[in-house]
Order: sequence, then structure tokens, then C-alpha cells
Amino acid sequence: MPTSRPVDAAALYRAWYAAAGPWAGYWRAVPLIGLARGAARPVPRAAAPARATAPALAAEIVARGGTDGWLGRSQVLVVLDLPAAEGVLVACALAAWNVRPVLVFPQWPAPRATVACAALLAVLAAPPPPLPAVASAQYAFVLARERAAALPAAVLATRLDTRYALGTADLPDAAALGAAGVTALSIVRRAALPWPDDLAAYTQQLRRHGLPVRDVPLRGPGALC
Amino acid sequence: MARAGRLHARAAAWYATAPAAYPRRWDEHLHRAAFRYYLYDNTVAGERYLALDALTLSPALHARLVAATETLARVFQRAVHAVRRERALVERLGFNWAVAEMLAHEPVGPWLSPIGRFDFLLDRTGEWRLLEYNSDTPSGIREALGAGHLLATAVGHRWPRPSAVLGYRLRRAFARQLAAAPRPVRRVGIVTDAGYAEDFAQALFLRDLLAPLGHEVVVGDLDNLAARRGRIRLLGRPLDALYRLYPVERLYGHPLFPDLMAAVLDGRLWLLNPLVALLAQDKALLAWLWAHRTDSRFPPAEQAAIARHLPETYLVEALPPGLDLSAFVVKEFFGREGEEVYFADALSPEDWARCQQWRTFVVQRRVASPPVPRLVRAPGGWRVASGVACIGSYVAGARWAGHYVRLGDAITTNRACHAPLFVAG
Repeated sequence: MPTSRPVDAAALYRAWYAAAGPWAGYWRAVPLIGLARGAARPVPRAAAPARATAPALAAEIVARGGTDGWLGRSQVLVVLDLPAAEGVLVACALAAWNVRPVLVFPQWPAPRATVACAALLAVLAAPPPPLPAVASAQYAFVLARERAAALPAAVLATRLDTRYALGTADLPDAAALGAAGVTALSIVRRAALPWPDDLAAYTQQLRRHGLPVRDVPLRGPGALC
Repeated sequence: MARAGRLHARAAAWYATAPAAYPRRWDEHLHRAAFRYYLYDNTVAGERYLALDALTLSPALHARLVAATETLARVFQRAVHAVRRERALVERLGFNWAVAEMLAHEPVGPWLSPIGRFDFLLDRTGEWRLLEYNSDTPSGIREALGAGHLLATAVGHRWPRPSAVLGYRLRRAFARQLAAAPRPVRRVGIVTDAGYAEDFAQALFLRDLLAPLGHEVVVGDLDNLAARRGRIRLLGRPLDALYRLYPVERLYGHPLFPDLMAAVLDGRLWLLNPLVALLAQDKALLAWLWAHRTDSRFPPAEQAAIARHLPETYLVEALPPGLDLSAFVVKEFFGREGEEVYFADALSPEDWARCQQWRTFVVQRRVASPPVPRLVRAPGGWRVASGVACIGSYVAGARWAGHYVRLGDAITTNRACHAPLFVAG
């Protein structure tokens, strides 16, 4: 007997795509393609830790973003570099503060892949919540911090290595940000995890173009990837 | 003088007919391509890589492209076999001595590689002019098969789509290459850099295409390759054959490369796209071909094909005296996707001196191609701009197998977009 409703991956794909608004060119939700092709399935219990930690993380962002004055402002692009399922849930929680999510998940969700997708698929199995208007919203690029996990050789011998580094074409450059009226970035991440090389290179490049980049390290609860 | 011919692009007219509906239809095209053909990497740097556009050419122009492709495939096969055991020459063409030694000894099947792609420009006289041959790890198969099929459905045209043969011919070429293995092949590995969405999607698509051949196919990342007890393993499973969707020259420094090549040279692993696939792709081989275009080793039809389709090409260390470089393009031997391609007249004297010092460059006569209109993003919508259509023409085994078109700037890079090619009127 089925334990959950069947998921319409194509309908979800379209719904999350629409959320990305003018940033749809950077949007990726490859795990949903894998879901449609039977390569993976959502595992609700795998998302339980993220569901437990996301509200506290969102509250911390609201507190800091409110104090510093960047949350909800369309001129500030937010990058949520958290474990993927947690990032999606946090972005959804921030919808009430004028935030729309832009998913950047290029990883294929193969069984036992090094970038696990069961929890992510469980949270993507629901469409995004009601979102603010496209034109005046603040956008949050949601990355998967698992992409940069360090793994031992023994793991790599038997598990498909789907880790990746975001390249220059995966995130908007200074010119694209400027054309969209973005004047600053806030990078939200777990304080206990080091900056991944790809994000460090990206923010360095933006700073060279004079774009202010704010580091927002979160001290929230829960296990890390 | 060649018979004139033209490429026609359709997007501008389609957009003008229904500008409001066009972006929605385009979104739907992207979504379908993602789900049906693993074309989920359908944007690049925020822009749409899969165009809602089609190019058409005449049956005669298409027939000449097919003939050029199949003849040039024979030319390259002959050239590679003439060169591969000439170690000093192979080193001059950019290979280090160790790889040159491997090239001389590696077992080779009936094809240099099961699938290759010649990239052409149509010049102003209507002649197909060859820019390069991608025989090592040619991309674009998903687009050639999938995007064309979807677009034909989306726009409701019934233009003949020659690329529909690609899946069948590719499978047949792989089957023949596999059958030539020194030992029976039960398990085939496809290895790529799984961290690149495009490369991994290609690997999955190829796995599905090869499934009817009946072999077990394992797809894995380069980090999942290991050598143990004399066998090359992917994700822990011993392989009998391997297809790389990973440039071989980037493997040279990899810790596994010596074991991998030892297994290949001993016949313990059948490399489906062996080192000769890179030799065929080497732009220095174009210079060698130009220098030997009247050799009797090439039958008259092949000599004629070289003269007709290959632009004049020289090694940078062997330029004829008095050559007017302003009419030439400078290309690195192993540059991919437009990397290290420069118009000679745009190079600074310092950069030109560096190219000469490094020696790993060719100069090739520039091909002027009539502009093709394409839609590009503009404030508040789209506008028509002119682009250059680079026409990839696949060969699977010895047969022509499909088109892969990129519309871009004068130098085709990974920022170009893809539009399917049909035959019309």
C-alpha cells in the first residue's frame, strides 16, 4: 500500500521554475528530472533534520537581515549556501519577507551518489509557498553545500561522485547583477563550515567589480553536511 | 566556383507572428527537452542555450555536407594511420614522447572513434569549409536527436529531419567497435566528470542509447575509476571496455593514467575512443593534411575533398614566407570549445611571439560565412541580431549521422546557442 501520494515531477519542475522569475536562466532542479525518470525518490524521513533546523535558521536570518537592513530588499541578492533541503525550507520560510527562491541544483540524484538527494526531493515534493510579486521581490539563490563535501577514497571507490564546483556561468556576474538592479549580496552559510572554493572565487570576482558582499554565518542548530 | 546555397533561420518570423506567446512556448520547449532528453543544462550564463529556432537548408546543400563528411572521415582515418607510428612527427604535432609511444602501440578498432563531428562553416560561395574535427569526445548528441524532434513537434512543421538517424547509426558504430575488442565485452564503462551537468547528462543519454546492444553499461565519475588486480574498475565493477566522455589530454597527469594505458596496451581494457581519437582531433593534423593534400596516399576524391573543404592551415613554426596573417585565425592544437582561438590581426605582438615560442598553434585561413539572424535578449523582450552558424556534422563509423548547429559569434564558444537543422525546399 502506498505511503505517500504520487509526485508529479513535471508540475513541480514548472512551479519551482516560475519562482525564479528573471533569474530563470540560472535555475536548475535536476533532481526532479531524476525523480521523473525513476533514478531517485523522495524520502520524507531524510528531510526530518532539515525540517527541524530550518525554522531556527530562518529566524536567525530574519533577525540579522532585519537589523542590518538587507532582508526583503530587491537590490540585495541573497545566496543561501546551506545543505540543500535546509536551504529550500529556509527560502520558503523567507517568502513572508519578500523573498523568492532560485534553485541551483545541477546534481543528478543517482542512488548512493555522493551528493544525496533524498531529503532535497522530499522538500521539493511540495510546490513553493505563495510568493511575493516577481518585480519587487528579493531573490535568494539556493545552493547545495553538499557539493563541496570532503570524501575519503574508500567512499569514492563505490559511490558515484556527483560533487561539483559552480563555475563562472552558473551564477550571475557583476554585469548581470548590475543590469538587474542588484547592488549588494548577502551570502548565508553555516558558520561551522569553511567557505567552498567556488563561492570564494565568485565573491572575490564580485568584490573586484566593487560589489559589496556581506558574509552571514549562521550558528543555528543541527548536524552539518 | 561552388554552387551558392544559404541557411535560413526561422525564429525571427515565428517571434514576429506571436511575440507574447513566444517566450511561453520557449519555456515549454526547455522543460520538455529537460525531461525527455536529459537536456536540463539548457541555459548558459543565464541565457537560453536551446533556441526556439530552426535552420533550414536545401536538399542539395545537405547532400554536399553528407558527401564532405563521409569523404573527410576517410581522409582523417588514412592520415592518422599514416602518422601515428612516426614518433618524431607525433611529438611535433603536440604529443609528449610517452603518449607518442603509446599511440604507436595501442590497439585500434575499425574506427578512430565510434562517433566524430566535423565542424563546418558555409562560406559565401556556398561551399562547406572545415574548421576542425571533434573525434575525441564530441558533444551535442542530445541536441541533435532530441531538440530537433521536440522542435518539429512544437512548431508543427514536417520538414525532413536527417538527424533522426543519429541514434541508430551511433549504436551500430559502437556495436562494430565493441565487436573488434580483443576479448569478449560484457561490461562497458562510460566515464566523465560527473560534476559537469552537461557531461554527465551526455553520459546518461549515451547509456540509454547503447542499452539495446545488451551490454551492462556503468556510468561513473573519473574519481570512481580505480585499478585493482590488473583490472580497471568503475564504481568497483571491473570493465571490459571504456568510453571516455573526458578529454584524454586532461588524463595525462591523473594518477590512474599509467594503469589505464597499461591495461589498454595489454588488451585488458578496450578503449572505444583510443588515443588516436585525439590525434585525429589535433589541429596540427590539419596542417599536416594541408601540406600532404596532393600525396598519392590519398585517392583523387580525397585529395579533392581536402582542397575543397580544408582551409589553408600551417603549423605556426612552419609558415610560408610572406604570409598575410591578417586573413588567418590562430588556434591551439588541442583547444576545445573556442578556447585559445584568436584572429591573428587582433593578437598583440607579445601574444603572437608567445604563440610562436610555444609552437603548439596553427594558423588557418579565416572563413567568411554569411550572417544568420538569431534572437537575442533585449531590454523588455527580444531583438534580432546577426550570428554565425557553425554546422557540426556527425560521422558514426563511416556514415554521416546528424547535424549539430551552434549559432554564435565569429568564434563559436560555449556561449553560442543551439538550433536544430532541417532540410526544406
